[in-house]
Amino acid sequence: MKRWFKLCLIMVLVTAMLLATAGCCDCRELNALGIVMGVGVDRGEPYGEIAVTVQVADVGQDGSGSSSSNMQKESSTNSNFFNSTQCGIDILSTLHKFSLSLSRKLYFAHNQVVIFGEDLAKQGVRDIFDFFLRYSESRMNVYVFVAKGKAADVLNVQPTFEKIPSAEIASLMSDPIGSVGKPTVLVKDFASQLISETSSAVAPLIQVEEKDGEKYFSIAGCAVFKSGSLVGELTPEETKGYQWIKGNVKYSNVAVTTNQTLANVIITSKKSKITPVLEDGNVVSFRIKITAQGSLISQEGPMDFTKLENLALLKKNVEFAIQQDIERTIEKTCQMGADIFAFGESIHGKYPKEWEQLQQQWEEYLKTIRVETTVSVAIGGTGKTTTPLYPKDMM
Amino acid sequence: MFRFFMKKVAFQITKGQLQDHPDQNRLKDPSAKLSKKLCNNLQTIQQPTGYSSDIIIREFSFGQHHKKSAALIFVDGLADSKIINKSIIEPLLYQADLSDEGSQSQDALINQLKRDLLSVSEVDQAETLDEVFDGFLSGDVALLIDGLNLALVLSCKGWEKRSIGEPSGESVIRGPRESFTENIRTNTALIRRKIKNPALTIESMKLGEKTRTKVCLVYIHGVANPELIAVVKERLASICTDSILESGYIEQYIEDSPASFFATIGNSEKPDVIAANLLEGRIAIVVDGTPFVLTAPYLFIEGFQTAEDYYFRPYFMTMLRLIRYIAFVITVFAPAIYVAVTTYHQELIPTDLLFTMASAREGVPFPAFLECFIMLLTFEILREAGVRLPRPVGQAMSIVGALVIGEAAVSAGLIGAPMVIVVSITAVSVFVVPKQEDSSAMLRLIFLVLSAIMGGYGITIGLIGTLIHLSALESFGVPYLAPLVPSDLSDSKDALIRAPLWLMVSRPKGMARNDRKRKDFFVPPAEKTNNHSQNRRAKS
Repeated sequence: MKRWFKLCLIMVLVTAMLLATAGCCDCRELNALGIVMGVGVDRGEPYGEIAVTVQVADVGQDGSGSSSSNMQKESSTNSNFFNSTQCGIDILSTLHKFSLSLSRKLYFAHNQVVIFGEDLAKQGVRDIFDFFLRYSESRMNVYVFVAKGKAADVLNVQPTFEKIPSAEIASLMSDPIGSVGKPTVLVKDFASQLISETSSAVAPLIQVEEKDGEKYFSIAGCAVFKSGSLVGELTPEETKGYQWIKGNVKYSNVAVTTNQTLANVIITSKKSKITPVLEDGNVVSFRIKITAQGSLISQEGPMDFTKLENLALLKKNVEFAIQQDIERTIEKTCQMGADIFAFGESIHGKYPKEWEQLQQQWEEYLKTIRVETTVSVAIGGTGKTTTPLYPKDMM
Repeated sequence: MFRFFMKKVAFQITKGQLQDHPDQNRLKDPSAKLSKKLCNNLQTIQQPTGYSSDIIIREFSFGQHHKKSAALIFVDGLADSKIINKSIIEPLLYQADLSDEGSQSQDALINQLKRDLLSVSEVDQAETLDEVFDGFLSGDVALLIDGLNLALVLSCKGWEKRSIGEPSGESVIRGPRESFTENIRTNTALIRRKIKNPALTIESMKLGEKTRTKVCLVYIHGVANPELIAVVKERLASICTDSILESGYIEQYIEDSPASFFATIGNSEKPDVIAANLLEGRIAIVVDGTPFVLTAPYLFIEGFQTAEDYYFRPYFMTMLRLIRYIAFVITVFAPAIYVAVTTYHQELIPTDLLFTMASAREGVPFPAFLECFIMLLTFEILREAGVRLPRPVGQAMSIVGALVIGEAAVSAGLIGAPMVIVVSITAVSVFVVPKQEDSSAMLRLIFLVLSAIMGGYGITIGLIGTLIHLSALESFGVPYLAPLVPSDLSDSKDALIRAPLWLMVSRPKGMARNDRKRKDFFVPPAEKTNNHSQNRRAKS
């Protein structure tokens, strides 16, 4: 009797202890979390420090948004979010400072955007960016931006559609329409660009504009990094050239004028290929081939694009426009000495031996490279109508 | 290890119970023979019954000059008095014209009685007291005649019984609506009405020393696996108990793993289900006094099959069957996953949903586990109350349940609204798979505790443990998870999906060994008629 009872007791205790060792240490209830939706990093006040702004969602009770904490609040009348800023020597020590002022544990798994201030980006972001890769809660599919001005200002803009600015910025980027002007850069992309020896990183520029006293943000081209530091900017027009080659272009339009007819062609998909050509071991040229599909979606003018010769003319113009975009951008970035198209890596892939020599003076070579661009666009349709709204004799 | 503990515990518990039981049996020797003297016999029969008032002894004399004295013994209420009057007493009293009484041998007398006088369908001879008791206590009449050292047991059962009703537990939209009753003969007749085949074998036995409950083993000879029949018989014979009041008693005495949450013996109250099971090579055990007939072997997938699956067309039924599996997963895992996700893995929740859930949890005083546990407990209490309570109170019950628990608890801020949704879907899903109701309720709690302690890791551990247990289980030699594990393609026709009937050519492998073929592979009739019409067209 005693023996089996003892045995039973031991079994129960061992099981209980085993369960207890697993513990509830990671357990956190939902109402103990401060859900971080966006992080902005700016240059701090004393030189060398950084100022981290976290945007925390204030979920309120049952979405009413009435109850809110008496935490530091910089933003607004609407209390769906609040921003909080702390300074420190690096991100983690700054985050730990938040625990002195915020009653909830900051939770980064739902972070939507990382925004670097312009000043900080000029100083360099390579070391700071390590946190966003290493921290267990951070995700790889977070959008990276560079703010024109201060990142904290961008996070303070009242959103128009969403409840939280970070969510609005994220949905702005995930919208495929007009994607030719908005390079989508995620943490994983930015990190792989930073780690490359010769290629340069890019990130979309986000700016705050003011109109009739209301602030709103917009994508204003593209920031170009070189070895982790901001070295230049591309205008929205120049950004297109980058996107035609490297980006994921969906629903982006190209407007061209053909015989006084303004026609808009929407590009729905494209493929690009960069092939390096080495002559005599040192003269470098690249063949860039772009094939795209699109269709005519609007026209202002009498030209009838159902006629094949007119369509061919349109196709030629669209191809030329894209080619212009590309060549302009390549020229500008090569002058900056920033290899945002990863030309270097394409040589490395195809001519690994020659690359060893070229790599030393890659920046010099970059300024002298020649590019042959061939663009072929297949225009597949003319929308719901065919001929323009002109009488036949005017066409 | 589990089995070892069960044995230990069982031994300790039973040891105390069996310390002293003085033999209070009034029937000293059940196998004693009857004597030749009627008065002695009556004495020995009446004495053990304690002269119970419902045991009627009708003494009379018959034959020429009414010289032969005899007695009828029957139980008032069990035996049909009309038959006794008309077919036993009347012929004996008025028509008995026995020849040469004195010189007539015992056998000749009995033969004459059987052949010429007694107009009842079944006449047995009983030589021992035991047989006499069995006879009249189960509704027959025992006829004792002075000078004979045996009794005639005449069948005239006629007690009040419930008529065949609709099944209360397994309602169907399409299919027969009859259900078994408490009367074993009605039940076996219902089965035989479905399978009119001489191979349908019904073997009877009596179990329970005190209750002497009639138990019938039903199988189709040649279809059911002989080894399986032998195993079931052996296990039934090894039952040593004083009472069998319901088929559940037998189920618990003969099941493979009494320590498991999962039932390894099935039951049904629908004759068509039992017939289908028999035709698949299973064995049915019909027990007197209960409408629930047992079937063995019982497999995991049977919980997800219903009779209607085969009566409706296959495509929608396949979808419904998949829904049943999904519902089982929901009812076992939903609370556990909800607790794990909200307390450990918030990164798995879509951001917008996280906001909704977080705002619902704002101000809830309990941790998610406790919140969930309270709701589940409330549900189980409501359900149990719903089963037990008398019907007129039912309405009040549902109002209290729906309003107080659902609405008020949320608006009072005790429980978050998402938790109410999770527990509700859990509760509703239980009833989609009623056969696994008990096991799912236990598993749900286990998984909930594991997820509260270890999150998704705990659920995984529990899942692996459950799967190991399930794949180790057997029901009468057939793997419990068959035909999923070990996987068998030809038997899968009726596991996750319900294949069209013309594809179901063979019986499942585990049960039927010999006669596995159900029918020849069947050309769908549409093609036949097409050929036919083509022929006709060619002729014209």
